[in-house]
Amino acid sequence: MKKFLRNKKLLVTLVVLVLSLTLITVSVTWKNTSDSPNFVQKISNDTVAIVSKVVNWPISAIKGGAATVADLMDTYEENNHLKKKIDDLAQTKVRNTNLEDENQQLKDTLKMKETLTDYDMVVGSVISRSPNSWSDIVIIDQGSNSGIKKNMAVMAGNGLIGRIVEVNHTTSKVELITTTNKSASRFAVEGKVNDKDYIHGIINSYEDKTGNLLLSQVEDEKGVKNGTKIYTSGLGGQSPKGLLVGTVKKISKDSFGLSNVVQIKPATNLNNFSVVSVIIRKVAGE
Amino acid sequence: MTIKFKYWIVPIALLFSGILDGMFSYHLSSIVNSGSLIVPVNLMLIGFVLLNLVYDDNVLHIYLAFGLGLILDLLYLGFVGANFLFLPLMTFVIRLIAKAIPTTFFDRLMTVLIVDVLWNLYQFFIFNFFGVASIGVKSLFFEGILPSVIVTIVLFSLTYNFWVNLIIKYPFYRD
Repeated sequence: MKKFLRNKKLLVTLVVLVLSLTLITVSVTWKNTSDSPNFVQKISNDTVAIVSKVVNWPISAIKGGAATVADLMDTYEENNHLKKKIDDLAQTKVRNTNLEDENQQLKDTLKMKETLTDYDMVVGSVISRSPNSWSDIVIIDQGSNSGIKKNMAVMAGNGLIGRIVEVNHTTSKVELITTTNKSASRFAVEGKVNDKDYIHGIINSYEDKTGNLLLSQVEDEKGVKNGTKIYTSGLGGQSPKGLLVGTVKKISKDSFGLSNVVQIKPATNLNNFSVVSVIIRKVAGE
Repeated sequence: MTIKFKYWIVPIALLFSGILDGMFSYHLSSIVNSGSLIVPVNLMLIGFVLLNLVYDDNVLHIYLAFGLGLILDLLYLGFVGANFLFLPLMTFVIRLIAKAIPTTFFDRLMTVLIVDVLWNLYQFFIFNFFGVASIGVKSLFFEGILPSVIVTIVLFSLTYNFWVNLIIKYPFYRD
């Protein structure tokens, strides 16, 4: 022991190592438990975001221009396809309006103000992402000034992509649903199997190889077919009910061969999106 | 220590390139669009290693490393400890070995690539240990080290002259 204590270099290295690990532990715990970042972090992130927004503008404009040219090439085919859909859409719109009215009347009768399916949206753009390969975090240009709060669900295109993990005044961080972060909040989801039955489960992980989300803790997967649509269930108090997650692709056994895992093909491309919608649930959580 | 703007040009350039890293990574990944592969961009790391190779005797670089690391950690990860510890550690290591490294393009490229690989290994350890991400060895190589090394070679070749000229012309608190 005396020999060890006399070796100053080794002692200093050990102390530095312990301090470093303590710093990271405290910092990661703080990040996971606090509702909002501290003042210094907010100021720092908001200042850097101003630079990001300014630099991002010409890059997005060039990229948007290239995408517009690509879209123009497909316009003719797309136009024909959409013409066929117009008749259907008009009919669906009328039916939708009637259902909305009916829904409102029923709510009024039951004296219900808001339900789990009610939500507002804040639209934002992605300005940056974490430049390493493993932390699935993107930064968007909307923050607490737009009413965004931690844990709100985020959609892109037709489907769910993740949730808000940090809110600054003018920017927010979105942790993608593909994250392997062990302390990340998971989405409670459900799917309608037939007229009466639903399956419930939790989006637990993401399979890189297939690009599918894995639904675990499914109570009873009987009757689940390929193509069954999976939505958020609204349970858990964070996200509203009815946000599309994806469709059932395959049912397989877990790595221990004990329980079934439902593979879900995401409704949107989880690696290529530039506009996102933050979902503000109207019914308060717990 | 007087505050002169010329001393702060390199730190500002490093911070700016750190911000660009995230933006380029996002745009390049969506252009490549090959599954879940994220294109890792380490423009700041290249500049930082070159700064320490060109002036290996400036002890103030260690404070610069802490400052840059803190800002980038808060910006991208939301917790302190990845860049915040790695950059000062690399400053210390490069100071020890810089005298033995020839000042040629190729030798400096090799040094940057070694630091790049170490950065991936460091993240692999930190992220797995603290549960920030679960990274497999296969993922470390194919999604981390390999794309990172390829991108770094390209970026180093494109920006080498810019960085070296900037660092020599506007050294950090050194006349």
